[in-house]
Amino acid sequence: MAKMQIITKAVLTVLGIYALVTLLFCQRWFFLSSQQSVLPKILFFAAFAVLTAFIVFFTVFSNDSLARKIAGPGDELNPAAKALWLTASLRLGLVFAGLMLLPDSIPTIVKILKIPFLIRPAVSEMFLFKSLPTVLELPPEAWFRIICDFFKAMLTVYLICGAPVFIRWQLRHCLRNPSNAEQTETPNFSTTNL
Amino acid sequence: MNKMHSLAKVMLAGIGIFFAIRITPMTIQTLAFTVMKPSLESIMTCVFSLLFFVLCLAVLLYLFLYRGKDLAKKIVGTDDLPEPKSQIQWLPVAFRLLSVTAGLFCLNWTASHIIFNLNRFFIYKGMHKGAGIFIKTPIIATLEQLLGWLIMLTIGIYLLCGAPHFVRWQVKKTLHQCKNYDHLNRPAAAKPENL
Repeated sequence: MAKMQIITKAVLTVLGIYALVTLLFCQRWFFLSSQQSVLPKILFFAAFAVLTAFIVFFTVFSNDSLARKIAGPGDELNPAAKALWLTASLRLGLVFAGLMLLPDSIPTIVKILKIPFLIRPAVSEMFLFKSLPTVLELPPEAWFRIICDFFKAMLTVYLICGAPVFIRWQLRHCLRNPSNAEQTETPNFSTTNL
Repeated sequence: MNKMHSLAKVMLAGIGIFFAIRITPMTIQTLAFTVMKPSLESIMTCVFSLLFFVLCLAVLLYLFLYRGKDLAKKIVGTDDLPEPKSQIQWLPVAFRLLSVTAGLFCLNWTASHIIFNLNRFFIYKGMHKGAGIFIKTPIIATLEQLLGWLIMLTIGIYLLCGAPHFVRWQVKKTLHQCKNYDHLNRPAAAKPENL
């Protein structure tokens, strides 16, 4: 793959992840609203799930051909340079996506920090009244929202940390893919000769 | 100025324009709030918010467009930097630019939330005065919100300053991950049929 193709691939991956988060978290408002009946909700959810899966598949998992089409032809890089460019551009993009998602996750992080202060009164309430603490007595919609927010916050933190496992997987997938690996020789990787 | 300086300058100009575009609707929002419930407090908040936004806009345009060259030199490093021979040299610059952008985004988020809450507070206060009945006094923000704003403000200022520790850590981790490539590629070399 050429340099520009690799950068395009990284941009597509980041856009795919951002689209996944945005689509999943914007549809929950419709899903949680009590205005509509159940059937439109299920249909809407299914349509959204298919659309999200389609976008994610073509932008995150199988984006090589799309990246080649967008970036056009270019000089093939050696595997070591390819690894560097892919790692660096993916990491940059993912960290940026994480930082963009951070403001929305801050309220959830503050709520998580508040949990230790809520445990003691909740436990004493549980022992005193022999019932579930009022803090936990929430409707299913609220629990769904809490779980969604929690996963979003965790994803944000993971992205800011550079998503190491995801990048490793992408690197392995890209460098071992037969369509990408025209050069089969093993290079000696050293940062000095890049 | 070398290639890296030019790249940084172009990116900074882009960042400046992007945030200038983001700030402009906020001034309209502030005006809309005042039109909704005109009172002395809401007019005062509107005036201060407008002044704040105009000041932010002026600082942004001055720093990122007019003095973009100097800021690019500060971000990239020394004035007479040699042309980058190694492809790794652009990595810290890119991370620093990214952190400056994210810092602006965080500060933008904090400022818009604070001003939105202040406007809402004065509108509710005006409504309660007119109603003449006792309703729970509106508050500007809860403790949780204040804590969130404080965290965002701290993160925003740190990122805007270039986040040196964060950038160093990210660059170190990226290079470490690249070095692992050799280890990653070994099984593939042992089994060429996998390629």
